[in-house]
Amino acid sequence: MVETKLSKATLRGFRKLPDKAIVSIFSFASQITIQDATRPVPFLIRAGQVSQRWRTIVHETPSLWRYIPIVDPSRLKYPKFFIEKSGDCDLEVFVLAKNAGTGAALKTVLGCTNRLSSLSIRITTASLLFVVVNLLRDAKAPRLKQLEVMIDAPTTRLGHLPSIFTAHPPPLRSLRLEGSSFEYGNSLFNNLSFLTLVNLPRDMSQPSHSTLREIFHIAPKLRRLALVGVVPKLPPGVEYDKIKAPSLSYLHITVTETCKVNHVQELFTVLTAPALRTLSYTSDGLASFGAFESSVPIISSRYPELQGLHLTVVSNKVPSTAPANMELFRSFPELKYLVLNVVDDGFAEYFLRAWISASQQNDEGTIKPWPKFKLLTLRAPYNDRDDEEEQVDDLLETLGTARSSLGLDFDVFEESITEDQIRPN
Amino acid sequence: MVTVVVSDGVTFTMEQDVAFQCGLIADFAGGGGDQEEPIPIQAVNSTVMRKVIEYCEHHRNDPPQPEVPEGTPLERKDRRGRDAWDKQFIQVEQELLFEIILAANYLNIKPLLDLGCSQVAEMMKGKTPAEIQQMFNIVNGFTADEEAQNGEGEEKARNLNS
Repeated sequence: MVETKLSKATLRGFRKLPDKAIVSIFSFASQITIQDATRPVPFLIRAGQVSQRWRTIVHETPSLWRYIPIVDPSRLKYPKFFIEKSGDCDLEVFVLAKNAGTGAALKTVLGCTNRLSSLSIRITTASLLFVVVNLLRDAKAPRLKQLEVMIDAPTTRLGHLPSIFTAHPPPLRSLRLEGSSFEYGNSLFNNLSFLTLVNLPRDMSQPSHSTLREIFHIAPKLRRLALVGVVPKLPPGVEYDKIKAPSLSYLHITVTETCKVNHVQELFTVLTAPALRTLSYTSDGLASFGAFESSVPIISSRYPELQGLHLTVVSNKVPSTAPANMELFRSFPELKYLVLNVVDDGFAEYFLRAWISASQQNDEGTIKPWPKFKLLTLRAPYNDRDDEEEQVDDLLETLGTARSSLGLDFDVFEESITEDQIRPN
Repeated sequence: MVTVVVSDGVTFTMEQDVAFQCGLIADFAGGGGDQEEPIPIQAVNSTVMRKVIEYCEHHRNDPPQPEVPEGTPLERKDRRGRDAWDKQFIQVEQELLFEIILAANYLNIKPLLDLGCSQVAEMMKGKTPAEIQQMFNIVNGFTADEEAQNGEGEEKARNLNS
């Protein structure tokens, strides 16, 4: 009975949705499935087969056809159909370069480069990489704002790739390079607001101080920088010039266990980013998390205005003692949001115990921990345990009480997640 | 403060920065001070209005969103993962989800409309047309000929264009 009632209600609800909302749903679905190589039939084609109304909406809305997935470059009927149906709309294209049809697929896309606003290319072999780079070298894409070049597990030596869009640099705002690298002097970087570098080619060393300086010199408007598995090589003992990053408001860094602690510390020491408000730090083990903890005094002195801190720890090992440096909780007076993602509840407990301890040490003259704090987002497995130890929920309650006794706000949002959901790419 | 009265007669009083996230209420109130008369919101019932207010209160201090989403497609996809609160907020029964979308559309709250629509989009991800029909209880309305043309595979999909 309940099911029947719900079905009728659902039917009524869906029928009541205006076309505008359905177009919005289709637009989101097209975007989130554009890089889905497991489905050879694009979402929009499937949506057109659901009902007469959906088919009419799909076929009468050119803007929906602007998201073009090319997951099998040897079959170009869909891309050509999408290009035709999308009228004059800007195009967002994903190409999975995986077979001999890649060249033809890219030529089809490059046939309308004046409409191209976003291009993502995932390349599976080094030989296809050079097909792609050759085709893009002299390409002209005057409206291209977003570019992603992603290379899966390159096994050959790549080094810096030859330049692309050489004669007509596009007005790129966002660039993501995964397993690939271009010379940073390249005009591709000039107007960037967003830059993401993920895992350099195997034969390339980590960027140096001068490379990092060059990035911010040629891209002074850079607001968001994400370094995943890329940590500038800054050996200690050298007096580095400060690197000015005047617009940088968001910095993400994923540090692996092989990274040297002092390189992380030096990065925070040299990077002058007065507008930095959010720092996101992902570590895949205790040593790399330790690099963060030991950098806290530097981070807090360099970025006192920090309002958001995202910490992700992908480690099943848990420190056996409380953090040596409680300064984390007494630093960052402007901090409002903390996101803590962990794959082991024990790590959340370790972190919360230290926070409670800092909150309970209420000696006169000591600084209250994070006085402007608003929300803790805690993502953890939340596994049930049989032992007598205080578990995450108990500790959160204790922390809330401790903060309340100091007259401080505390709100928490909890989400149960699995390791796969937070493991960095 | 702003007071509204919804379709089932329940009244809600909100602070202005919460209420004005609803474009309709902001337009109705004209951006002025406190309203003396409750604003009638006939298209939304109290259950849905509670959810709407919960959303607006949580996001009252958010900076304005850019018109055009920023970042590369992959980064935007990450952000569509939404923050954990939004993700949990929108995990509701289908009936309520559609009601929230309708309310967000009527009240002109674009971020909430986007959140609801993206949740429906996530639910359709990887589904065949038949699975989508079943999931949302959709009667397709196709003629027998059109039905025969439908189905998975490129050949059938190409017929859509004929």
